[in-house]
Amino acid sequence: MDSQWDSMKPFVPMVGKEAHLPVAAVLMLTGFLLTGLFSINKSVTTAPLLAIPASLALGFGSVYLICAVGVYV
Amino acid sequence: MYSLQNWGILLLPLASLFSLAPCSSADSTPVPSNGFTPPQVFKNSNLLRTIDITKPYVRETIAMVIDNISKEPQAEYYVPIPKGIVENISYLEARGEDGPHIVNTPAFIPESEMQYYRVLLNTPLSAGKSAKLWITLAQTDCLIPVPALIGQTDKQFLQWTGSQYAASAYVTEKQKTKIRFPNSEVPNFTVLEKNGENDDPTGAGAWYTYGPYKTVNPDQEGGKAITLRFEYTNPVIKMTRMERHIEVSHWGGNIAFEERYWMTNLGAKLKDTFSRVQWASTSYYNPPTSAIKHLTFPLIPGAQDAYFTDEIGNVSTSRFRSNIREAHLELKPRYPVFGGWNYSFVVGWNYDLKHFLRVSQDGERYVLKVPFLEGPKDSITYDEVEITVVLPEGATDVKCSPPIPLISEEEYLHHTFMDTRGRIAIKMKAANVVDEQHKKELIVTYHYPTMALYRKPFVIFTGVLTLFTLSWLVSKIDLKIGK
Repeated sequence: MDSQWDSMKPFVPMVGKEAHLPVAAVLMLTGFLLTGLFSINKSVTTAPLLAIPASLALGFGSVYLICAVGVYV
Repeated sequence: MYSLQNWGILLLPLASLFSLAPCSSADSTPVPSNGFTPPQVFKNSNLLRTIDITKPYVRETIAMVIDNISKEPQAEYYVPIPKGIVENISYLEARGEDGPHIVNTPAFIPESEMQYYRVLLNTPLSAGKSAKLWITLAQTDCLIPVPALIGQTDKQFLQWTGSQYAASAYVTEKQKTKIRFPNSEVPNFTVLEKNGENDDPTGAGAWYTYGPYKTVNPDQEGGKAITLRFEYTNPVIKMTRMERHIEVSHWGGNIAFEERYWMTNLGAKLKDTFSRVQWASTSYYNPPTSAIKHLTFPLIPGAQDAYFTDEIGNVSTSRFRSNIREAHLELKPRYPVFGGWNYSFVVGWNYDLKHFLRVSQDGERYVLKVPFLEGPKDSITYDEVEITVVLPEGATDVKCSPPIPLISEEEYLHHTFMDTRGRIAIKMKAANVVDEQHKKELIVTYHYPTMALYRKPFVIFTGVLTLFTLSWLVSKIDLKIGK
């Protein structure tokens, strides 16, 4: 077991703990910004340009936001 | 003496799992049927029994030389424990010169007075040869406060009753018992008839020696009972229940520990009512006391965000000091816990996950190594211990190897924040654990594909996108009146 342990790499998360809040803030703000832009001009052409990036930003942003406040999901 | 809880603990031998996988090639047929006596194939010589009562539970180490007096090689050595004591045994380990031996716990037979632990020697002992054997065991709940009621500032005395000879299933040629106390104040001890010219026992400071005795047969059943009463003005801390919750988060890079304790003090009860005035006035001098005043948790360095709450709310009488060298958490219960009193509380803290979790080269296999039990550095015994390890959502192929025998182990789905399917959690239960078993490591391995990691933001992504599509569709509905 110990030899296996030594040969493995320590786990490093994608975003470190100190960076959770800034990353969450940036992602959520772009998410809301894009949501706002989409709500002004809704059409099939703008959807992939605005709606999908907005959903992605909000998705990742909410995960990092909940980690930033201390609930590590 | 036989409470409902004790009968539950008796299930431990029946369901014990020795999960230290490499050693489990043992023959696990339960030890004896009714009326069993081990065959007299061994003889003990030079037995030294050291009973350590410096902590409020008893640790016994028996060092002896065993001779094989039969004509064939023997590999099974039996250790007898009386029926009334076996449920209080926390652990029994055996070791030889070549390393630890496997010990099988007895299947509890209520009709039999003696229960036998079976030690399987690593290499069978040839006929006529001798080997050294060390047996260590810990026994809880055997020290009684005498007097049972004391004043708030009085000294506390605990009483221990044992047997003159070491319990052995075989003839013992020469033996001696040494008892060690935390201090040299032992006002009462059983005086036996003189052993040759010397007194029995002989005492020197904190050590009392009974013996040496010559040939002892197993049917003497331990000889006379000896009772010693010693001063111990410190709390006798017992956790009737302890729940430890370990949660691993890959997104946050964090491992969260939360422990719930139900604590009581098994020391002498108070004669009069508790006087807060007397307590406050004497506390400045910090005298030794039988009440639990504070608990110190020496955590692994790197601990962050520690909290201490109970049913009422946050308990502010705590201190947490964390730097690269140490993480020192000191808790004071809301009131000093005297004999017979209870207190329950919750403690928790976080760590960076990189100290405990390692990932394989292909990025999908993970190994988690955490201390199985981490608790106060004061001497503590636990009646029931429940350890829960919660792994991220989507973890599969979960295997764990606990360092001590368990009563039960179950895997279930734990639902918490942002979960869709639920997280895999393993709940392990053990009983009658002593604080010497702190810091042993629990190893959990699991398989966690990267796709499972992206499940969480993907769920939110789908949800928000559905909302956008719906809002676009709704905007297409024409609600104009007339043309």
